[in-house]
Amino acid sequence: MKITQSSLLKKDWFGLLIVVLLSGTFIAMLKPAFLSAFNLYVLMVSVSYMLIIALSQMIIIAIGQMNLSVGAIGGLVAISFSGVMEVYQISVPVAICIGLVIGTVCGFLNGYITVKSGISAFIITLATLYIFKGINLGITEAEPFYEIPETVKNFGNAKIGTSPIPYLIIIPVIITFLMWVFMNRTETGRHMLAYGNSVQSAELIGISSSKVVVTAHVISGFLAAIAGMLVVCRLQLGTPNIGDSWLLPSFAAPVIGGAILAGGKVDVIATALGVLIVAIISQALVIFKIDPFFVQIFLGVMILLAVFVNRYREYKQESSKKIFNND
Amino acid sequence: MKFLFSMITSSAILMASGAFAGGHSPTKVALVPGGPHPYFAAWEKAGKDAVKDFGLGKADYKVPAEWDLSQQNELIESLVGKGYNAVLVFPGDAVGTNKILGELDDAGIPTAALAGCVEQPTKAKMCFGTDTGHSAYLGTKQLIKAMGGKGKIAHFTGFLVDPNTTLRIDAVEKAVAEAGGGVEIIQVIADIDAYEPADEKINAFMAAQGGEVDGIVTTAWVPAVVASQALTNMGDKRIKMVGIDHDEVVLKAIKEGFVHGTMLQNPYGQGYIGSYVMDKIRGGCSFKASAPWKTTAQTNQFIDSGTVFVDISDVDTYVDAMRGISLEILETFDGTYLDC
Repeated sequence: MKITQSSLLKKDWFGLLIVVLLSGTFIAMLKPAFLSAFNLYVLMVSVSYMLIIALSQMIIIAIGQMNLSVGAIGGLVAISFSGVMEVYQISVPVAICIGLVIGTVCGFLNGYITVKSGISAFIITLATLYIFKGINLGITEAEPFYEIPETVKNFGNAKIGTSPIPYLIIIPVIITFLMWVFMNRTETGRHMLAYGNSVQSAELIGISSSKVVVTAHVISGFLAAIAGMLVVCRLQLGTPNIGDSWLLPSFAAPVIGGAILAGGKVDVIATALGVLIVAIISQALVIFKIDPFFVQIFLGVMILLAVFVNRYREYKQESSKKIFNND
Repeated sequence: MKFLFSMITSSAILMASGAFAGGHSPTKVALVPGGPHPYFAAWEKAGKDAVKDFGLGKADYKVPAEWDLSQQNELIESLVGKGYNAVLVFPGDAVGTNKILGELDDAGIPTAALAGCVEQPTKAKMCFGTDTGHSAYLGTKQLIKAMGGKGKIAHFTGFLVDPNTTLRIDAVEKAVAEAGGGVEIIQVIADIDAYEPADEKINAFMAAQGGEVDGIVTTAWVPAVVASQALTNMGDKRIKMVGIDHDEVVLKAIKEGFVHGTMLQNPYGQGYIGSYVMDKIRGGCSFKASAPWKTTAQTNQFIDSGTVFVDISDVDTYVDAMRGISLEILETFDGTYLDC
């Protein structure tokens, strides 16, 4: 298959890839430490769990809804995962299964209540956010679980051989690939995009609304659970605050990646690049010693720039279409 | 509807205050933090001990579901409705919290700001907490001493919107300025009071500048935990670090030699002595006009609950050190501050 300039311009991720390459090169030229093995390791660690969090939100955006409880699910799973290991001395594989089941059940509840009540997922997940967070605080009373098994700690902090690649990035990379296959190559994935594009049209061609919504929320809960457990591996403790800071970043990456909040259009690779861009910007702010009182301004401006570059690509693409049509 | 709600709340407040009963009914203290945070966990035991030692009716630790002023206010209103007649509160907002404190005072319910102050004018009887600026100053002094009086340091701290953060940044700068030019602050990283961004930013700093920094001072709980873990993971004992508070991760890192020490605050003493003072106020005592209040950026009715530096030599006995400070404050409290 021949790759042409116009075929690349059609890809949501292409503009973002350019942004990643240009910003990476620019930072590395000014601060060579950016490309040091340790820094690349740190960058990959931050990308790892943020990637899963972004995908967890992205799949809900795909159906034109929002999941405000992503962080609350991740937090509940994080303290459950660490809590059962500390309090009941349950083995790591069983604790992982418990965490995944909790995340999946939370996601199912979000989807099921949304479908059965007919109320917007925004409202439902706002309510379940408080419920899941409340359960979290009821269990922990705001105290972290510290007794994390060494295998879990090592997984969250070790590198593959002498490379800077953390073990922590393996699962997110696999999940990103599986999500790409799911959204682009499976019937259910395509149904989700069709549903997000137009609920009425999707129902007219026989797509089950209930199935689509519940499946999306189940996958979202499952992914939030994985993210919660990855954060426990990384932090080496299960603190009830895990997930509190996830909400805005969970939207930022898919939106930077060109997702339409009304639904019907998401791109897994572009979302992954969106996560990478946010991580690079955050690192750059530290590396360039930006005054802490101005960090938020720089972060906002840099995200806007990334979005504009991608929109410019879309504009160029539209322009070439017009020229082609006029011909 | 608002009027009806206000009437119900006012009635509950009046009944809880004992205004209808008259006299000094058993004191029931609500200890309300700003939101869930492990720092405040010691308030629970402090309240229970205060009930046992001072014969209070109740002293219960009640946590709002999240860091949100309106949720904290609603919780306080519901607790007063349930019969609590004294409130110790970590202000959800240094100005905004004054409204509910004023309403409680009007209903005869004494209140005090605990671990953090409200801005004056306020109806809070006192602000009893750590002198955060002084603690940051002492911690930085300890760090500079451990570094041999020279080198480059980084400062990791908490929420920028917390007025204490500015005080801490200024205090660290003051201690560095007093070092006579041998010490330089190479970076201040703030707004890292959540674990995930703290992990990202502190490790990014270590990756970029770990080789040139000689010391780290942290003046908030989460950055202290994450920086301790980063140094432990790196196996780095060259960089000296002075943390804050008593999280297990920080204490373990001190024992293992990755962290030089930590500036302990006194949450137990705040809850214990605060509950005692509320009972005294309800019993008819008042603060002396000549009370030796300290002045901070927010209030001129501040009492320092104490801070102490702990390193590897006394990390196992830090609880005794804090209890000692609490008892010392308690022994002299009546004579120093109260007219009974």
